[in-house]
Amino acid sequence: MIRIDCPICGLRTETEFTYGADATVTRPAMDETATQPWVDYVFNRDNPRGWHLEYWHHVQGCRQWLVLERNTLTHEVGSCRLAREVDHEAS
Amino acid sequence: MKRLETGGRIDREAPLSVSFDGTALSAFQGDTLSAAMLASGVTVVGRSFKYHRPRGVYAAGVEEPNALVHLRDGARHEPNVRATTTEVFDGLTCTSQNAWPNLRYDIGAVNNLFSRFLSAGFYYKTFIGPFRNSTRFWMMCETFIRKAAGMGRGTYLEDPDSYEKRHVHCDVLVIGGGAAGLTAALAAGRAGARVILVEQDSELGGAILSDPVGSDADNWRISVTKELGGMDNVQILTRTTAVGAYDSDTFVLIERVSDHLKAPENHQPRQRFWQVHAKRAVLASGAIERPLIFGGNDKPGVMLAHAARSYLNRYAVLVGDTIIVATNNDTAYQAAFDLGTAGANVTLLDARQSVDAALLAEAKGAGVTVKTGHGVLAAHGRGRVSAVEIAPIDAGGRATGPISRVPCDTLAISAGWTPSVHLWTQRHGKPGFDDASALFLAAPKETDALQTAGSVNAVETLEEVITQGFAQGAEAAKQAGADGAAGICPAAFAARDWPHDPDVIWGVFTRDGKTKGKAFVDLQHDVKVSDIDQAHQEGYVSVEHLKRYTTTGMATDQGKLSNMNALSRMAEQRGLRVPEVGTTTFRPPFIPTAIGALVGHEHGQHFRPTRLSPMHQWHVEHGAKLTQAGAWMRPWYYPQSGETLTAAYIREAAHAREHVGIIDVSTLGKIAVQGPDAAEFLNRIYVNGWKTLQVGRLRYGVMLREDGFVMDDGATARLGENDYFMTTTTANAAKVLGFAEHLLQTAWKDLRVHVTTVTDQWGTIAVAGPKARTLLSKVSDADLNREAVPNNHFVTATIADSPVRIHRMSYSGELAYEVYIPAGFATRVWERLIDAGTEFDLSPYGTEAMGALRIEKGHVAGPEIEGRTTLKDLGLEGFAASKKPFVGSVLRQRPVLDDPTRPTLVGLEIEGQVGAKAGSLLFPLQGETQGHGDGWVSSTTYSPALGKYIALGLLNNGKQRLGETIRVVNFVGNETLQAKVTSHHFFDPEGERQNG
Amino acid sequence: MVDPVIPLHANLVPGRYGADGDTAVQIGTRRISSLWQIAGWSDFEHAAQPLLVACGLAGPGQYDETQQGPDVTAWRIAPDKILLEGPPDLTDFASDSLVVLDLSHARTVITLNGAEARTLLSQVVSVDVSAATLPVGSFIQTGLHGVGVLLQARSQNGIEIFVPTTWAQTILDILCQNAMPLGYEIMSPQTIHAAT
Repeated sequence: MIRIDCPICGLRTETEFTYGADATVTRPAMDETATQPWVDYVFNRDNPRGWHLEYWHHVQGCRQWLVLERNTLTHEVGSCRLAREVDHEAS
Repeated sequence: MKRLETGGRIDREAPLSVSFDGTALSAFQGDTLSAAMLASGVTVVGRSFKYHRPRGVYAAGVEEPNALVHLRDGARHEPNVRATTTEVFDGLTCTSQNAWPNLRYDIGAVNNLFSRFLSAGFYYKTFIGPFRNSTRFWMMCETFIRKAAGMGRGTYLEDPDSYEKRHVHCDVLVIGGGAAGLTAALAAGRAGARVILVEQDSELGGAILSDPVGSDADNWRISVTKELGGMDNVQILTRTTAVGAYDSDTFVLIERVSDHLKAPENHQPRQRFWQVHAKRAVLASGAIERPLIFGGNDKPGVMLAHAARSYLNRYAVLVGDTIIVATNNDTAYQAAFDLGTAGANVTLLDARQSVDAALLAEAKGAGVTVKTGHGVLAAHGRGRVSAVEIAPIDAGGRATGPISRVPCDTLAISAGWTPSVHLWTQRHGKPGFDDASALFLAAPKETDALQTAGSVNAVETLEEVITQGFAQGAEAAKQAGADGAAGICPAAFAARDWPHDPDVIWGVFTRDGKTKGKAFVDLQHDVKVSDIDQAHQEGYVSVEHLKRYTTTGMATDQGKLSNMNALSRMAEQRGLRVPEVGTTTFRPPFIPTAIGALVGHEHGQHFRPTRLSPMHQWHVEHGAKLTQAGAWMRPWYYPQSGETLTAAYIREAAHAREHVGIIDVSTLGKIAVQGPDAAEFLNRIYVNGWKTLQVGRLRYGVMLREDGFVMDDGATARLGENDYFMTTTTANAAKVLGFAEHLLQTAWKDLRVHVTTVTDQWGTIAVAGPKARTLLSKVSDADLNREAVPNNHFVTATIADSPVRIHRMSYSGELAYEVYIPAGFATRVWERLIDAGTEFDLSPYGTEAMGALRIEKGHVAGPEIEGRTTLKDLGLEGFAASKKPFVGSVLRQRPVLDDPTRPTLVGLEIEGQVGAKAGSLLFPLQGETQGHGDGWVSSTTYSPALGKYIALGLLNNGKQRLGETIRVVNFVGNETLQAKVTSHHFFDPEGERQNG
Repeated sequence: MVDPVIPLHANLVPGRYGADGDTAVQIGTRRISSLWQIAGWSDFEHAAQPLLVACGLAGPGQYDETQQGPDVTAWRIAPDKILLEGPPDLTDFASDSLVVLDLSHARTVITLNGAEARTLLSQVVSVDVSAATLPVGSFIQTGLHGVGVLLQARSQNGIEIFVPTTWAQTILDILCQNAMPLGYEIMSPQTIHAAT
């Protein structure tokens, strides 16, 4: 069981959240018509060993989507930010 | 074996009625079951796992491998209960397990004779090698072996007790109430931290409880415990075991609230599951004495030395008259001295060649004969040890001289101590190896929140145990933010040291390095030294493989007793040192844990939460049969005088088409979509266009997932300039909301839109049938004329003094409306409709009839929108806008999804008077019915409107096959039907009725 | 207009249940007069100010602190969302920068009172509900039996749980089940009405 430090609600147990997949991918612009960028966004993943960025949704709390650093090797948890405040190009 | 007249921590004024296999035991308040057994002369308490060898009480704590019993009768019957940790209570009954017909004459003991077939890996080899391809033979053997080789039997009766969960948060969690844990809790408590101190025993003190009452150690314990008891910030949990250490700061404790009673009293739970979040934790779990290995080391009468001392000093039970203490270390001397003082004739064999002179002098004073450089090669005796073979041994434990036979009735053994690092390794992985002590120890980093103190670190003196505990407690409090003063550490009492010896002898062998007779490294699983040897010979190198192949240290043992000896043998065989062999991983739970405690109250009715419509009570009171739809309980049908489901739904569906029906559809997902960019948001999330929808109108829409498959459908109404009211299917409400929030908070941050669930705010009633308008016009103040409210329009109105919104839209295909009512008024409005509906022959209908109506109309629902279907598959491609991008608009056009031969939605008119089963496969009339066929049946019903059974299905190339007759094969029910492929719009395809 | 039905009323049978002793928790419900959500975007605090002032509130508030105005109680439930109990119809405050939503029927309040109210709560939620972490006047959004709820500490021994209405019965049931070892008392509807 990991514990997630929601920027709005504070430190909470994993059960209050749902996992929302890889947060390192960037959704193509709405007017993107080429197939490959969408295939990359939806299907292609790096599966890194070590630190990773993941979306978590605080469904039983403030309902904010979060970007959480988690180590896939040790299960350690790092920083947790509001997804809305994460500048995707920089991450 | 006898109970002494004086001493111990038992209450001789409180004798208890306790029985084992129907025989009364001498038991007092304060006894454990094993103490009562020993006090009553019970030698054999069980039969071993594989070989059914007689076994006696071996330990005095959680590490007990032998004394496992069936405890209690009836629904509270529990198998595999350790007698050593079971507190006796008045009326306790227990029976032996794994023996038939009884303990003394156990037929399964024949396994002992066939032991060479049951050695390491016997499952894998015996029944796979020569009997390959003979599954039946294997299964027959397995049945036999499982019966013969096993543990206790469970009960099939429902557990009558309740289990409770509790979540607590503290600054410092101290695990273990021995000397180190007590001082850790004391220091942290004095500093002002919120402390939880956990002790699995019924009393605090740990090993001190095995010291005589009134001793310095005992007085020390009482004084520290008293100070702790007076601190409001220290919560002491006895009868509580820390069973698991998990990620970040989470620990799980199991408190045995009522297990020391005959049954829980005054509604108390049997056990309590504590989930603890601790800023800091101190693991003071101590150490478990390690057995010495030799032939027959499992015979009744063989026991850990410290256990013999516990039984003496805590329970006033002298375990034997003629006792041999065999050891390789100093700590067993105290047991020898205490047993000698209590009147036993004690001989001590020390495997070491030389022993401290002061210790030898002390032994002489206590009347204990000591033989250094000697070991027990084998124990003998039928039923119980009656003699041992002893021999002089070398530094490797091999016999070097003449063997002599010495009579005895008890053999108390000690090969040193194994630190209980289990919780640390659960949390942090493999322990480190300490060369000085030749032990695996926890290796916490200074910054870790979990630190260790006391014997778990194999510290050598009591002084060190106490000061280390105190220092760790103080530091933990400080790190957790408590800034009070810890004061001065209580002074230590006199105790025997635990000097380290890196070259311990762990077993005694013949000249050629073999054991004499069966020598067990894991008594619980009947794993012998020779099994380790065999695994080695067969090429097993990894300790993790060794563990699984031989089963040593598995299951409840988790290496408590067996680990170090098995590793030592493995290391010897491979010519390596123990750390080079490595150790296995200990897993939670530390002790066997009742499933009930993990479940808590979340079973039966509360297995998951239940969701109820605001009109639920009415349905229940009016006899509705309910069905589960996700978390919801919904009216399935309203039977009239003993009607079956089938009769009821056919009647209800036909009735709606002929007159008027109402159904509670409050379960529909409802989402408020608000903000200046709401239309743009809808335009992106739905495949169809939303920019032109006017206030007062609603529109059907379909959504795709990002990968281009259909996700959900429903209608959305525009309530105001910036206000939309979206409905989703019952099943997908949470998914759609979460997805919308994700998009708005990540990719579409520029859109000024909020989505909020309003499912709970609105009760919803669908009114369907030719008389729907007349009924609603009667009860409401709204003008519902065709011109005023055409399809896909809504109006606000009042019904039964409640404000409502009436949406004109049809799912049934009839003239229909959905009435949205603030939840608190919903039942009122429902009742008003029922009352007013009498003259229109109104009848409520349930989900089964709703399904029949929608299948007749060919509307898709969950069975069709199931994650594998595209717009085109479902005949919905006409909704997709071509000029605007939407979620899934690119990926839906992947060639594989555009393949015209994909299964597409069709109607099936079933021939005959039996309906198709959903999930049946579709095949052409001719040819083999093999494989996945040409498609499948998704939804099925009897159609009252058509007077026949119909179904929806997905059929390869379906649109080109209208008119074809196909086979509908239900492989589960072994039933084949024929059906004609038709359009899925079975009934009123032009929609004349709903537009009327 | 008529009074709305509190869904729990039908199943709240007054009486004393569970363990004997003096640890009983009083379980009841109370009426919500009105409940509105306001929401906005980057300029939310500015956009909400006139409405908050009209409700007698100082500002948007903190994520863990209940704000109490003369007639209105407010909870900052997200960066750009505030839940308000007790205001009149807020429709007129809606603009391109602020949206308002009537949720008056969407929540049901379950009240817990007694010295062991927090103990009972600790059995069903994973957050720290001790008086130190959830002091009087604070609130918390968390999961209870898998349902997202809002808890507020009205007093040392008095907790209110705002439950989405359709889940209220299941939450009440699990609370009662958990309260058996403490004992519990279901307050009579008359008492409930008097309290509101």
